[in-house]
Amino acid sequence: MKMKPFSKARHYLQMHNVATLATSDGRSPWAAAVFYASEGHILYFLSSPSSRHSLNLAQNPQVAVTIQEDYSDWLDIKGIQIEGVASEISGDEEQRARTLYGRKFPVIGMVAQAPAAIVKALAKVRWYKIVPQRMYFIDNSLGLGNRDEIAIPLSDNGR
Amino acid sequence: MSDVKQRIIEMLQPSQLASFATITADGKPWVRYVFCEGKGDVIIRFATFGHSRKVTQIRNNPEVHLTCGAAAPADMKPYLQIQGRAEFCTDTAERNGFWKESLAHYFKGPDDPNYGVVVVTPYRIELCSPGVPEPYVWVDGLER
Repeated sequence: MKMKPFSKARHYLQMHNVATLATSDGRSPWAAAVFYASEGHILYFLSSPSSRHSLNLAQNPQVAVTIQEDYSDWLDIKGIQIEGVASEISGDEEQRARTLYGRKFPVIGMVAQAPAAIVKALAKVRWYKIVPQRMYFIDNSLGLGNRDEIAIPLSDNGR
Repeated sequence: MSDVKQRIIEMLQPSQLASFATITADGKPWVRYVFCEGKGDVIIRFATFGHSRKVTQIRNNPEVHLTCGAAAPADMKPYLQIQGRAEFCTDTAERNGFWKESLAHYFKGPDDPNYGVVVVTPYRIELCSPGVPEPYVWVDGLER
């Protein structure tokens, strides 16, 4: 059965692990690959607060995101484009992000059994969420540049 | 030529999918995928449509960022973080020099008025390797 763009986008988010996160210091862009977990259309990731993208986020929360595989032919490309706002999270939200992340990346979920280097690194990270304002599903197999805007449910906005 | 620059040139050589980030007219970041390649130097090129949003954005602000080779960091392969300035070129030399048969899916030929080449001139490149804490950095000919 053919999936609608909304379902395809959610499925694609769930089935992939790496997002390219674009941030800006106001003048220059910066793109970084981050591992993410998702719930609905919200993305969660962790990063060092001293990374370039975290420093940019502290100045400017506006972000753009792509999620795609390493395709070798333009006509095969499928993926997600997001325009949204990123913010650091804490408390219950951070706990929820840790749970989702741990399910997707078991080495993070089983921190008690993780190698010492990972435990040490995790102690220094901060947790962030990306709330999409606009989301697109790209599917070049339906025509070059085929891009469907995905309607984001109100429950996913500004949570 | 330094080993770092040589490694960067080799990594840029094959045509590959990369994330290309720009700044929109209202100051927000934007990112999309492009198929780009180097040609014996750190200069990076890719074809695009003259009416595309990225062309408008780089005309407004030529500061750009490319991430090459990071679509699957779990593969633990080195990848590149590239800061540079971009220009949209439609002169005959660039159009003919970059033209390849695979572009015929999208353009009528090298003279198609919609066809142009984005040329990115990097000023700083980080060569990152998973598991290595600090990247190798190439800066306008200075390596550290």
